[in-house]
Formats: sequence, structure tokens, C-alpha cells
Amino acid sequence: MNNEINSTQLSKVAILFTEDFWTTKNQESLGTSNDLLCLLGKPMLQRVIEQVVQNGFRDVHIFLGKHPDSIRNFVKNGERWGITPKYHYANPDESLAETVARLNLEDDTKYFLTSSHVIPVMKADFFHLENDIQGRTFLFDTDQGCRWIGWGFFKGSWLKQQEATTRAIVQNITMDDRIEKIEAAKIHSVLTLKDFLKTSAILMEEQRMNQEILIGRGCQIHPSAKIVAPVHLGKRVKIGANVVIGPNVSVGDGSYIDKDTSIRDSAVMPGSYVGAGLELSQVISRGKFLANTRLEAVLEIEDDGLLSFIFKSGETRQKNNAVEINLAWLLKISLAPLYSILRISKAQAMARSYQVELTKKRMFEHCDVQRKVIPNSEIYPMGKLKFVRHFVNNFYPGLNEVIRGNLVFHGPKLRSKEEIKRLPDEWKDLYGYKKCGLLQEDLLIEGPKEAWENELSFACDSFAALNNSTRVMLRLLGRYLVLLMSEVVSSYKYPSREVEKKMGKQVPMRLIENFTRRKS
Amino acid sequence: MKINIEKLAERDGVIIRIESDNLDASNVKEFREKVQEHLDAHGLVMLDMNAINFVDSSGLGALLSALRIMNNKNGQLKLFGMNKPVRALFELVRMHRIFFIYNSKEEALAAL
Repeated sequence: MNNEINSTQLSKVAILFTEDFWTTKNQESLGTSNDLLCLLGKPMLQRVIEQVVQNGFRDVHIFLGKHPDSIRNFVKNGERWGITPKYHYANPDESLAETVARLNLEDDTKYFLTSSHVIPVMKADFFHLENDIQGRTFLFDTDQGCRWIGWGFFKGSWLKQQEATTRAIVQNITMDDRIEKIEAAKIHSVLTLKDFLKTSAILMEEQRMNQEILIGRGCQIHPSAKIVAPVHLGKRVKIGANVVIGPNVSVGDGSYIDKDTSIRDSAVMPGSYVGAGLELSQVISRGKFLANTRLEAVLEIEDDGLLSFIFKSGETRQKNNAVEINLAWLLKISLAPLYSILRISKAQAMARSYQVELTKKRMFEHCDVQRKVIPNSEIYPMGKLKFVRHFVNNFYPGLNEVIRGNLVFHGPKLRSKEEIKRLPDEWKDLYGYKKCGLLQEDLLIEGPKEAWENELSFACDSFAALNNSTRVMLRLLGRYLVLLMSEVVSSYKYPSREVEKKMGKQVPMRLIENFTRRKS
Repeated sequence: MKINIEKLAERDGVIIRIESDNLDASNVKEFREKVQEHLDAHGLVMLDMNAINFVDSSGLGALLSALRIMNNKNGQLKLFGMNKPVRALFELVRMHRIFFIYNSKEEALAAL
């Protein structure tokens, strides 16, 4: 729907009302705005902003509702979508006319109005307006009568006359013949939690997921789990034993569904834990909040005992008899040799870990070289950030996990905990669990040639490889295989820390030195 | 915790109205002590839960032990007047399948 705005009287300014700005009805809430709940991996607010951007609007006045901070934190400076947002806080005593008056709207210009909790299905000619009409808007027919969904074009003069409540505005719209009314056949809405679940199901239908199960990357599903289409699983979702999921279930990224639980017609928000042995239907789960949309009740669960099925933990625990105890001991004794081997190999790995420390040290030296070579390399300006994975712990063996063009191998500066706390959530996750870093792209490609030849060889090679250079990619792969072989062959020759102390010499840095030797 | 006792005229039973806002670890011991004598004395106990807005796992445990006592002597324990969050909690842990739960006192009495 890429429509250019063709009328001279059509403003390029969009007005976005979040969280049902005008109504004071106290909806059940899951601790955040409904607009921000994840609808198949994308919140409604994001879908609305994308729609606004697609239609060519860049300046957006955002009117905040009950959760101003969460909305502001999500949209931020709008750089993600290329918009310039201007925020306005809600004032319950103010009418729409007074709210709009603050914007200094021109009388004869038409302004685009949107609400973040609804998206109507729009037609291509929606933006072609005649000069004489006061506006054009969507109405949606519900059981309780006609409902205004907030989307449309209105003249500045018309907006300035409106009162505070949506009911009064709907009345004005229906009475006024100069406003063109379009009946929306279908809308996506998150006004209530019930609407949210319904919209989630509609979206699955629209994505032709009727008979499909979408599973994100890195999901772990127990063989005994049963999934009934349509189901949408995000990334890194874990599903336990005997779990039954579906139909019409959307599970957000990184969620965990514990064993023996059944879920249907529900949505699990990203990062949620759903306990064992539960039976959920028409439910939205978000962290410690659980909303039952059928009963229209929201539970805030702070009690660990309720996260799993109470009877299983309490009543059905059986005492083992003497035979079972003896059998368990026999099993333990027979497995003792295997256990000892595992312990010994773990101890060996611990002894070798000193080498990892040295690699880390070398990494920091390597970064220092960069700082000296390229001035201002400490500064990471916004807009030129590149997604970088460091290879302190997962050295080259991590190559197969890298998405071409998205990730770059390099040894960046490791960030402190305080720095990580200040990052947006998606980066925070990467730092916390994936140990990734950010790096200015210029550091890699603009360094002097000598540095490329020696210290920076890793970074430059890997950067080129990820920019679709097959030759370098193959070279990198070859080196990786050589390293791997040398690792296998010489793994038992490395002295432990104690040996090193006795001998008074350093442990050789196998991996790095092999590289530099080959280079020179 | 305050409880009100109302004796049933037609049958050997009582209606216990819990006058507390919540049934959790802070008052569950008191609840058990006060209800115990009525559970021992009568064959039918009806719990009026209109006032309760919050129940935690220890509250659920107390209700379960009350149910066990009544089942052991072939008595009946009925719950009525639950508000939505408490009802949702009962459904979450499948307790609604084990207890007899009614919307109102009239419904509970009619089901006798």
C-alpha cells in the first residue's frame, strides 16, 4: 500500500492516539499497554507505525495514554522507522478540541488520525481526497452499534470543534454528511484482551496458518509434546514433555512451557514461564501476569507454588520401598566408572582453561592496537553500529552459527554490566547470554594495511567473508579446519598451570600464533 | 480473620462466611483453627467466598485439607460467591474440577 500523498491540502503530519486515548474505561491490564503485547512476534503499535510510514508520513504526534513510559521506551526517537515523533501526555480533563489546539493545526488542511489499538483493512484509494469534504473515516459495526475506530482524515477546523468522548465524536461523524464514512469489513484490534486473542487468531488465518505450524529458530520441543495447528512458536521456545499446544496458540520468543501442560486459544508473551501440569484456555500469559479472557480476570502470580500444579507436588508423592532403594544403589555403583571418567575429563578441561584466559588477554591487546591505529575508535556513533560476535569462548567453531551479513567475527571491547543495563532489551539479551559486541564498521575496513597483515587478520578476513566473498570464506574455513586438527592432535601436550609454574615458562598460545605464523 | 456462621434450618449444615479480603499465608493458620470444629461437627459445610479477593497456594492448601476432611467422613464441602480472579486461579490449577463451586448461595442451596 505505497500511496503517495497527492493533495496539496493533505498534511504530512500524522496524529497517533495510543491506548484508547479518549475513553476512561478501566480495562484489565497485563502490567503494560495492550498495544505493546506481542502479536505473532510484532506488537500492534509497531504494525500501526509501519502502516503510517508506508503511507508516507514522517512527522507523527503521539498522544500517550495510561502507560506513557512504556510507549516512549518502545518508539524512542523513531529512528527505527525513520519517523520524527512528538510526544503529548494525556490530560483527562481536556477535550479533543483542546488537545488538538495545542498542535496549531491549520483549518483547511486535512490531518491523518490513527489509533494504536486498531488497524482497519485499508484500500488503495483511501488517500485520494476531494477538496470539499471535511474528512473520511472508518466505522466498524459491532453488536453494541457503530463504533469509531479512530482512523481517518479530518480537516483541522473540524477537529477543533470536537468534544472529549468517543461517543460524542461518533455522533458528530454520523450526523455530519460532509464526513465520508467507510465501513471497515474487518479490523485488527487490541482494545481489550479478548480482542487481542481474537486478532491473534485472525492474523494466523491471514498468514495461511490454518493447517500450519510455524516454529522459530532454536526451539526445543520434547518428542512426547503434541502440537495442533495453527500454532506459532517464536525463537528459542522450549516445550516440555507431554505438553499439548494448540489450536490457535502463539508462543513468544524465549518462553518455556513446562511438562504436562495443555494450552489452546491462548497467547504466551516472550520470555514467559508456564508451569507444569496447567490447563490453559483463552489465556494470555505475560511474566507473572495471567489473564483469563473468558472470565475477564487478570491474576498476578507471585507465589511459586501456583506456578506448577498443586496436587502433583503435594499429594501424589510416593515413598520408595526397600527394593527400589537397593536397585538405585546398584545402578549408582555400576555407573561409577563412567562418572569417574567424566569427572577426570572435566578436571582436564579445567586445567586447560588457562589457555582461554590467555586468549582473552590477547584479545584486549588486539583491541588496544586498533585504538592506537584508528583515532576515535572508542566512539560508537548511532546509525553505524554493526552486530559483532566476539570469539573469546567460542572461537572459530562458532562459524556455522553466523548468519551471513548479519554477524561479524571480531574481538571487540567487552562491555561492563552497567553499560549492558543501559542497552535496549534486544541488545541486552545478546550481551547477557550470547556474549556479542557492537563495533564500528569503519574500524574493520579503514585500518592501515600493515595492521591488516598482522594483528587484525581475523577481523578483516571474517568481515570480508560475511560480505559474500567466497574466496575468503573458503580460506577462513580451511584455517578453521587446520586449527581444529591441531587442537585434536596436540590437545594432550599442553602443560597445566602447575607445570607452567614449575617450568617457569608461558603456555604457548596455540591458536593465535598459528595464525600469525602462517600469515608471516 | 473473622468468620460468620449461619446454621442451615433444614439440614445438618452450616454456611461459613469468610470476612477477610484474602486467604493466604498470613491468615491461613487462623482459618484452619476456626473452621476445624465446624468441619468435625457437620456433614455439610458451605463456604461463602464473596469477600475474598486473593488466594495463594497456602490458602488453596487449607481449602484442600478441608475438602479431604469432609470427603473422609462422606460429608460435603461447597464453595460459592467467588469473584473472577479467585475463580480464574481455581481454573488455572484445575481445582474447579474437584470442588463443588456455585455462583450464589441460592444456587448452592438448590443443588442440595
